[in-house]
Amino acid sequence: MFQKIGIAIVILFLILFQVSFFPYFFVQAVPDLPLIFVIFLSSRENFNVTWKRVLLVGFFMDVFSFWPIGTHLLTYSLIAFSIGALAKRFLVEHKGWGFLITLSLVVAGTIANNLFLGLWSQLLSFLDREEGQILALPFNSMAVFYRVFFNTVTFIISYSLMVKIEKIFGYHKGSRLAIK
Amino acid sequence: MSDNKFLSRLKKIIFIAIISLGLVLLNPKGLFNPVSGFFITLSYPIEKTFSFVSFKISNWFEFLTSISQLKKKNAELIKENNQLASKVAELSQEKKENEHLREQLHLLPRDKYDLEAGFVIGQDPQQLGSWVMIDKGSLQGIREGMPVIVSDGILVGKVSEVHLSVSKVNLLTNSSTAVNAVDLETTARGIVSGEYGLGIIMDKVAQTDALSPGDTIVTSGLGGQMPKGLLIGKIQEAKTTSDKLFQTAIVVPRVRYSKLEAVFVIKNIKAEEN
Repeated sequence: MFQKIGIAIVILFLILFQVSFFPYFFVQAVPDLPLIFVIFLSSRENFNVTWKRVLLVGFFMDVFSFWPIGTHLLTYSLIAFSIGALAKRFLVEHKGWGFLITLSLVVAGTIANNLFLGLWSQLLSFLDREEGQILALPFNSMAVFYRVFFNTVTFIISYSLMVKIEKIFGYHKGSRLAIK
Repeated sequence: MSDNKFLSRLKKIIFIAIISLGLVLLNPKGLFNPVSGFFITLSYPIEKTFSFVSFKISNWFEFLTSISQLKKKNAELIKENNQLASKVAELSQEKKENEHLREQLHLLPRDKYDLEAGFVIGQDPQQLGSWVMIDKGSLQGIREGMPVIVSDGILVGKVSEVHLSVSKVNLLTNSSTAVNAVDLETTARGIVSGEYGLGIIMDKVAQTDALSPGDTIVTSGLGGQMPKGLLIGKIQEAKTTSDKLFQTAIVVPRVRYSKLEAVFVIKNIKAEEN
């Protein structure tokens, strides 16, 4: 119970940090902390273990960034599922390259997330729901480049912190080999 | 065994995808507003603390980086101060003209607005310059569509979503924001909207109207709750649309949206009540 509440609080703080703290420091793009967390979780455990936490991240992200509820639930779940499958394939075979492989997954996940949200927002604004409350995100390659860069740097900086959080709450069941 | 596990994961992701799509389709009916409102209201103090601390730290960093430029800046300021002193005399004359123009254009004096001050407690992390979250909501009488300005009557956006103590404000740079505007110098009318959080354009200006770089763009007061005469920005560049039907202009806003700290929501125009 303590573990579940603890994780929920960590996720909530992560999202609030993303919405209320980070935007003041970045001009081109804001690092996507929740996405990094989802990728980290999915690279460590398989989807059957992580899906509830991923859904919680997606739900809070939708609530606090005013996307229609369901958007980040879908995008984060798809990313977690894909990352889980890729991590199983590569992390088990190349144990020594664990950190670099996870870093590549962060890059791939960031690009996939941006593409998905771009397409999704175009679709929603095309449907013109409630006079286009959703901002149609442009396919801006520079913004994607900045986000990939910031996400990679943020992942490197926050990696040990995420491992510590994992240890504190003891949710890592070791269903996949730990990244070395 | 492994195939079974994969199948179970596949079933799960398909189930989640269907549920998520269902949730998105249910959203327009506002079904989840109470749920969202609950979490937003609950976390409001944390958001306010985060944004306050973040704003102070970013200001402090800006101050640190500006120290090296202080000497140069000081010399510039002394020069500017001298120029400004001579302009004061000039401006007192222009003030009279401005009051006269205001009367002619029926613009409302700024003290005629019923304002609600609010602090920015969150921003769109996905697309900066798209929206901001303010610490005032329905409890303070905020309603959807209300214009949002900064201290000097400069329009920054419109309220687009209201919760108990928090509201979402779509900025002028948001592509879903549209405001009727007029060129103060030439009276050319058009619609101001955002360009994906990157800038502001004035569109749908008739070919017969004149638009020149440097012209001041203000709200025209047509439609909705938007008062007349709120400053939007200055024209940077004007051009004809590809279909040659209208003219468009790139408008430079007067404020940096990423650095908004306090804003004012126009709840009412006092003059209209009387």
